[in-house]
Amino acid sequence: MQSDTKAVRPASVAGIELLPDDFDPVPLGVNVGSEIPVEESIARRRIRVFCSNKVAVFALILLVVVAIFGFLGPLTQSASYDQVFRGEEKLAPCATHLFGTDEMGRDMLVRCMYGVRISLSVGLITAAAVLVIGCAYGSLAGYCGGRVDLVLMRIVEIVDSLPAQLVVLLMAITLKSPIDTLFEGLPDSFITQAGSGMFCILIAFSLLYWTGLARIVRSSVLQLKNEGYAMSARSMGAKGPSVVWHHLLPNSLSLIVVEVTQLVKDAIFSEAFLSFIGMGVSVPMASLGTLINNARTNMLLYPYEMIEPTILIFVITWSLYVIADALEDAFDPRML
Amino acid sequence: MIKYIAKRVGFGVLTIFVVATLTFFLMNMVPGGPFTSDKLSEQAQALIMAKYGLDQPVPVQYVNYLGRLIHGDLGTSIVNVGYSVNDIIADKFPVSFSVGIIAIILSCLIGIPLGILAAYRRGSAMDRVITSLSSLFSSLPGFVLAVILLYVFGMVLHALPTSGLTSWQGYVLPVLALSAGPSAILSRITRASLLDVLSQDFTRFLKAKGMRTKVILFKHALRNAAIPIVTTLGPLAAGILVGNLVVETVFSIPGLGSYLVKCISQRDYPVIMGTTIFYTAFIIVILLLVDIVYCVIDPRIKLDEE
Repeated sequence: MQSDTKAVRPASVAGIELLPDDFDPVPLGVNVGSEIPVEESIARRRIRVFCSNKVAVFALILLVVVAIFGFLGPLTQSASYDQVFRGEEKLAPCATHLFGTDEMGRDMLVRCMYGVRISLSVGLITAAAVLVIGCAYGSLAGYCGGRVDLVLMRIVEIVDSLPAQLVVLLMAITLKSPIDTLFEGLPDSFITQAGSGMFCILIAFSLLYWTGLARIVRSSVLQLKNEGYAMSARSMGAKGPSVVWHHLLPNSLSLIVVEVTQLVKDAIFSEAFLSFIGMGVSVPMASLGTLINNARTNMLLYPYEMIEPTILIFVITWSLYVIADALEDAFDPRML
Repeated sequence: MIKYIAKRVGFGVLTIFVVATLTFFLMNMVPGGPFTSDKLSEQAQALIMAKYGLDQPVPVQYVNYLGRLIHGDLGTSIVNVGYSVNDIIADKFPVSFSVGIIAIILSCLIGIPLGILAAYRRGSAMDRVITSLSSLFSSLPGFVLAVILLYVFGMVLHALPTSGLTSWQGYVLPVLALSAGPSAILSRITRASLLDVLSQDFTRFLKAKGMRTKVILFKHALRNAAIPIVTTLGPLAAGILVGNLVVETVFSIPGLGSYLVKCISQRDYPVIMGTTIFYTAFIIVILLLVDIVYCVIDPRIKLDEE
């Protein structure tokens, strides 16, 4: 009985009067673990720091809502993005067309949904591609070191000094026709509807945007590879790729997460820019950039056509910006 | 110092070479020559191809192209016959440059003081307003802002002209659209960098010996905080240059940016190639200048060391 009360007593209470009994070993079967303050796990701390930023939580919810709007929204609508409602052109938002219709009588709500879908897909696909290329390249340079590192990083420097948006523009123009021919044989799907221009943009982004991540992974691997745990893994016979995959990359995770979130935002930014000047999606498909550009000519008469996609793109980029910011705080290695 | 600059210039030349090569081969991937059309007879097509040296094998074309490039010849437009790319750039770039340089100066004048203010009054309502405005404007794509400004000030309020640069009012909207994003980024960097410096030992010492906060801020902290600010200026200038493409199109400014956008839709490949190379060279020169400014600001940086 006595040991029970001892276990219940909160361990954090300091300055309590101690009796000799207090130093007895606790009998087996008594659970004292719950009374001892356990150090907060890293993941839990990160979530707590992230959630303490109210704006970021709001942005995350907003982003999820917009993502649902873009990816699941079209399923709830009977109209398709290129369906023309004759006699219902240039309608202001109303009950049948919540976002109105454009000058060809296409439902703006559905077109905006597809625009969001395109924007988010571009961001996510670019991030995935860059994640693979950047991590592989960076860890190769960092882990091998020496001459390999020197040559690989010179290449990074050259790619870095290219004006990214211009080169993307150039690639998008020139890759279009080879990819067009490649696309001819493919069955009709979201990818072919989005068009070859979109595909060019994705290729161009993947080929240019990996350098930042590669630099970060390289310097992190370079620093971590001589840590005790990496050395002991090696001494037990682990091969290079295994050490990198199981030990070095997980320990660089914080830096990678922050960089990739910012990258998603940059990719969405650039896609909107390219679509705006007419390099992105093929015609009947809508992207937020093309929607804004189309609405430009008649914006005085039909301002809602411009306002809707503008708000959507702003919500996406702003949320990502705030989330990236909060992640940076949550993953700050100096806080550990 | 000289050794470093020489190295950087060499590296810049290498980059331009890479871009030139990349552009050349990318352009060659496009099937169908620029003169392929139904209107021209085969014979006429062959003649034109021969005139521009397009009948020769690709490696020969490449060498010829590089040869012309070394002499500063960026090629000839194939849509506006008779205009060389050099003429077009000489004609259009000054317009873009004047808008761009005003935008850069304005972003420094807005961004840096706001950043200082936010750092100086850290945690206050002022700081929060500046930080939120900064997050707002740096997540607003330039073209979106341009369209909004055009709509609000040009079309609804009729306060400012919506196109062209005929009067000074014409500059207001494009410059605002171009400088909002960079100002936001600059204020953010300035704030972060100043706060970092202000938490260092030497500023704490100055405070302890009784120096006034303003003197610490402007005389000591700012100079130490300048490096990250200058670092971002280079890429920002490059960004403004590219942002020009959209802003010039939206406001119908007869600059190189809107011309390039037009060439893209017309598929005027030599102009696209030439302009890209020109822009690259320009950006590389800016980045080099920024690097040199480093040593002036912070003598501790020795550029020769890696």
